[in-house]
Amino acid sequence: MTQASADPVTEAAQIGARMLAGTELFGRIRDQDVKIATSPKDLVWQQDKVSLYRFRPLVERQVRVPVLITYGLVGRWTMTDLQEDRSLVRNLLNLGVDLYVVDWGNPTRADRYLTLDDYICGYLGDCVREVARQARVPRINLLGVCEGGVFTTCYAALQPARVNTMTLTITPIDFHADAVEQQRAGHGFINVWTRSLEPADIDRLIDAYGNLPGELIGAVFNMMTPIRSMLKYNFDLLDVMDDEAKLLNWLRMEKWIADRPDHPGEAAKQWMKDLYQQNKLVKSELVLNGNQVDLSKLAMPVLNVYAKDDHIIPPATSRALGPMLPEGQYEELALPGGHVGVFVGGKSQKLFAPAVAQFIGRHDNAG
Amino acid sequence: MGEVGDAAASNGSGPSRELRVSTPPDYGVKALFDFWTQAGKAALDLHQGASANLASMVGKMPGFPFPPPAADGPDLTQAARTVASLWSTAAAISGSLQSLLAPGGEAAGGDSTVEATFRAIADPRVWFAQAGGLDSVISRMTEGAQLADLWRTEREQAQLAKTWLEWRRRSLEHQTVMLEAWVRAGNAFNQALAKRTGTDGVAPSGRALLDLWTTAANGVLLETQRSEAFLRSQAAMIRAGSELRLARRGLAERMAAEFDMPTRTEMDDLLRTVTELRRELRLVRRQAEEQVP
Repeated sequence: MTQASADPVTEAAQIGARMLAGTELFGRIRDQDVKIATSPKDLVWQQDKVSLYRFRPLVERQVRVPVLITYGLVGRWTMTDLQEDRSLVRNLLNLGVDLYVVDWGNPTRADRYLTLDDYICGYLGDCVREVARQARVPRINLLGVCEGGVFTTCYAALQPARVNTMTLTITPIDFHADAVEQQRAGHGFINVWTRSLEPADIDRLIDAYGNLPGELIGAVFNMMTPIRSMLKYNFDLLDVMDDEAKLLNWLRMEKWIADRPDHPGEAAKQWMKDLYQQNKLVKSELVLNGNQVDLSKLAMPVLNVYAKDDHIIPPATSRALGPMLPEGQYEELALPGGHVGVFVGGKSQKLFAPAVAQFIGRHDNAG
Repeated sequence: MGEVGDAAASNGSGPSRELRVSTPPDYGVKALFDFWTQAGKAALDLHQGASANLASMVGKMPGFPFPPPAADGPDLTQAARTVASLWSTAAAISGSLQSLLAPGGEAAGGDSTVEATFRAIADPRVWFAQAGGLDSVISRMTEGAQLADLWRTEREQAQLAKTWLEWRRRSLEHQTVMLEAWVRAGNAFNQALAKRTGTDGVAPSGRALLDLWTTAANGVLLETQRSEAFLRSQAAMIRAGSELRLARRGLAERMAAEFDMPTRTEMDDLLRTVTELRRELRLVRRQAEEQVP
């Protein structure tokens, strides 16, 4: 937000002109003009509501072992390909990476009994097998984002022989490590908020609504930046509304935020109780399909990417993985910005994809 | 310097609700002040009347096997009174803040957007509509459609009434926490404003003023959201919201059963079965694929 100019009359006139131009522009833009996730891709596998896509190459392939991007059930993978010039997907494709992404679809009430076991051992496992089959390699590279990073971690610990490398992005491992960063305003509020609920309350919430409503999740996110949420349709919009390119950028982000699926109920119970409340992942106490998720079984090279100012997944909750792995197996990349800034920030974009490509390139063992 | 925090009737708990401001409210703001005060009182009266009527109605039902719900438990009444009191204080603060941007005033720096935005965010109702977005989401999800034709079974009616009263009480308690935060934000803003105004008596204008409010309010709200009081009251509200929704479902399912309509519970049973069958199918398919050389 900028300071007022020295001449209030001039400033008022400028704002008036900007609003006039912006109103005209806003009236012309249709929803179909606001496109996200436009990198060309093909559907290569599907089961129930889960779809696996393979992106079409943009340059000659430089890395033999393909990468599978796994986003969580909170939000959607389209953040990784928000727009042409702010796209992790395009940046990786331009570096010659063979890229796949799993799309969990739109869970409805019919999916309320799906568990983390189903998503990790079932759907994700099937996607990994399919990618490996298509690429004719025994193991593939995994790139997990946020909750998808937890899925990836669990899968890699349960099936280490199928994973060549693992890249985690803004991924919580120690869900209680937020305590060390509570002096930073707003940081780790989701951790605090979820722990404030009784386990029985979570059960009743899911009983009542079937799933964890996406609208509810969005409201909790908004609580982390309360005044920001109030002002975005005033000043943020005003600042961009007379510039078509900037306005479309802003609207693409709005479109992504609005696309917040419901989180399947049983999986949400596990996510909130087993992980946020009881912190079972870092303690290697999480059990999926009857098997213990033992983080000491992570045998592949790991690149852990976190955002320095991530208020949703505080860095300490991600970095907790480092001390658990042997020296030489684990690398970290700290990116400037916050949770979403990792994907759309100008500085982080220059660092993120090249670091991933370089990391998987060093371990490009297709044998 | 005038004091406008005297209208707040302190209940002796929570933070100080006294507010010192540098500018008295203008007549337009007084109208707003009156509106809020009266709205708070009207809401309290309405709530008490509705509760009394409900208790009276249920109590008169022939053969009703349970004692009727209390017209208003002392805790519910106290919660409602506290909220009404806080509304008065919040109204006073908001009036003072908005008088900084009184028509013809200099503070907005001629920027109508700043003025409109400031007026909007200095309105305590916004704290419920946006900053407390979760609250409004829960309210909307819980209150949902009316089931006017299903009020037939006394036992379920009593249960629903009880859960509704619990929901109201928890909601009022949470509103109290939020309003107290708003009062603290008003105080923090005034202190920051006094500091910025300095000895020359010239207050910041335009967006600088808005920035000042944003910083003050953000700090207080983030601090409030981490407080034990906020987390406890919000958790209680979520719990009450779930129970109300489940109680309402119970009534709907009773009626559905009478007309041989499938119920939510039956649908969930089916969905569970389908999910389990699909899970088994995936496993069998996977095992079959792994056996192929």
